[in-house]
Amino acid sequence: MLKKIILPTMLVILAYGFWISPNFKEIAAGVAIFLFGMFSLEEGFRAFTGGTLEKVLRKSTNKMWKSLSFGFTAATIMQSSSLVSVITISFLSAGLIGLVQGMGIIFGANVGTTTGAWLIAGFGLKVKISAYAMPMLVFGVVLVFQKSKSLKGFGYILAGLGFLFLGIHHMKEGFETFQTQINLTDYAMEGFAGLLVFTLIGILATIIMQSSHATLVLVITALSVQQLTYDNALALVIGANVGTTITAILGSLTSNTDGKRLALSDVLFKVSAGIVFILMINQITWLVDVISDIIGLAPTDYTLKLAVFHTIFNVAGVIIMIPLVNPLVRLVTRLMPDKTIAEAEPMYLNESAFELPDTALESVRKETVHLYENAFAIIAHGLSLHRHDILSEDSLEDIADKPGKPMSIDMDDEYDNKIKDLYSEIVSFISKSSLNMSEQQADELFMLRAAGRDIVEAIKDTKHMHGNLVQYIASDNQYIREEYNKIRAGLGSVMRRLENIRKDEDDMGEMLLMDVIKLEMEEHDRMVNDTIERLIREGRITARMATSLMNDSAYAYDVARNLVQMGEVLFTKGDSDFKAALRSVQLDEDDADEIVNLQH
Amino acid sequence: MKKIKTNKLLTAINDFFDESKKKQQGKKKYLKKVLKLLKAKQKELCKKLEAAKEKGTNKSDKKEIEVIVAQRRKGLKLLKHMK
Repeated sequence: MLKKIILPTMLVILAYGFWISPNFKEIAAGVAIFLFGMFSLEEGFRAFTGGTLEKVLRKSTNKMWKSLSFGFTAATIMQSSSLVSVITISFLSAGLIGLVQGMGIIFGANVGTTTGAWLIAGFGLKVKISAYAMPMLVFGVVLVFQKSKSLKGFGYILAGLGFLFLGIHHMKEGFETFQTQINLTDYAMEGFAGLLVFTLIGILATIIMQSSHATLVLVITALSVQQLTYDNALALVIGANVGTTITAILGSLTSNTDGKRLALSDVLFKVSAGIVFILMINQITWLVDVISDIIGLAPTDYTLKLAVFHTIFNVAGVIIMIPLVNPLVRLVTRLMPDKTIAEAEPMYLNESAFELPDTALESVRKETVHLYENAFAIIAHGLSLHRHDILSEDSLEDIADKPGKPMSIDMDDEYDNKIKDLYSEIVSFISKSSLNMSEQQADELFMLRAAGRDIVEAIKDTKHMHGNLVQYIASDNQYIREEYNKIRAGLGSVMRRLENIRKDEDDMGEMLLMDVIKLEMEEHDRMVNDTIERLIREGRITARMATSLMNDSAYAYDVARNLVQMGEVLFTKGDSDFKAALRSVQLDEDDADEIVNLQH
Repeated sequence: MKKIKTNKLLTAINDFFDESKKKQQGKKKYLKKVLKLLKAKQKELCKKLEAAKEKGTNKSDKKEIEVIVAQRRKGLKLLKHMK
């Protein structure tokens, strides 16, 4: 209900404002153009997030100082802490970075945004930036219409900067003309009450515009034409810094628990810093004067002094928070404990992973590994093997030969409870996330979808042979029992080796082992056929047993092939280009067949 | 002379923005990297095999070498097609 009222009310207020004051119209248009510039800038940088940004993020966040530097640099270049927050939450949701690294990036980004205040106060107001805006817009729009993704991205960045400059220009013009008609400083409030009221206004303005940059520009331009007192401007900056947490909060609504924890820590950091700065405003103002004096600013250069204040706010906050990161992590973890996730529930698929193609891919990959973990137990039990036996180093032949009761397992029930829903979620997530992907990323997603299907097929094939397997491993006929135990040991061995490959850090070794398994599968397939023929000829097994064995050997071959195919996609490490090159030299069934033919 | 220079410059600019060419070059680069790694692995396994020969042939390593040889052959064939 409230949502339905807010938008029309806002529109009516704005329309009334435009009607009674052309200057208000110009200032509001300036803010709108500025915000549109921010969107355009974000869109441009998103065009370059298809690999480069992700690669840098992955490599440069293993230490706190690196995370801080990354956040600082990214926010400085992109002039948007919002985009950095959204990317960080997305990476956190996909499990690509941890909470501590995420905090480092967000803290660094907070410091990075201070460069914006310096640029606006130092450059934006002192130079006629609208002169730069026009060519930027023209070149930007021309490039936006190009086919090449990089040119398009560059066009959006250029147009975005053009709009930012144009927006600042209109705000400045609006305030300058406003000055001749109305003096906004008449509404200034002094003392502690003024501090609180203007902080609140700063918070609200930033929440509405969802950009602390826009609030800062408004404050700085208004301050430059004396439409705002310096004290009230300081309060607005505090408010803008607190209000900017809205982006992280909104971004975390659709993320996993870690994303929410990150947003909470950002809120805690900004709100505590805001409270400290409100309580110590006199001391901080004195410090700003001292620093301004040291760097040679005129005592009346309030716009640059505001930039100094904004910098102190964020830098001091980060310096205080760095040693407190671990207690902060503990606190947010206690406030937001992990939810117990049922086996069939997705762990990594959430909407914030949609933000970037790479995080969507990583989420699908991790969720498919989760699907495999569930499938591992079902297949193992379907073969009447314990998981710990497969994961041990004991001889699988000995384990399979051990006499014992076959495990009772309802394969259909297990599939319905642990696989079906999870697999459906993965397929649905894949369908939604494939829209904005590059050709290479779409290929990778296609392979992940195929890996999920391979897992499901492997379970279904295990189910097909399960009935006979249970019957014959308890059979009195030694020969048929031995053959079925060989199938169990063979598949157990494939699963064991896949687990070893999964843990292996050596890219080359794992790829190699995968092809060795293929080769052995081909050899085994030929051997099984010879064995069956021999056993029938010698009258060791009945024709009915032979038919079952033939069918089940084929199912076993399919289970192994599906698992290996799945392993090739899920367990090959490295970046996407390297993986693609590795896959291109991997042996297919024909290659393996050819090698086996040469051997015989 | 001036015309040749302009043509070269235009070709360079075109190449810079030609994404399919860039993609192909990237593929080649990574394939060469993989082939180099395979060669090193083969060398390492051969050495291991030689050392194990005195005690009896290491069957597993022999199979791995066979696989590497086949993979290298496949990779070289692909590289040849890319040129």
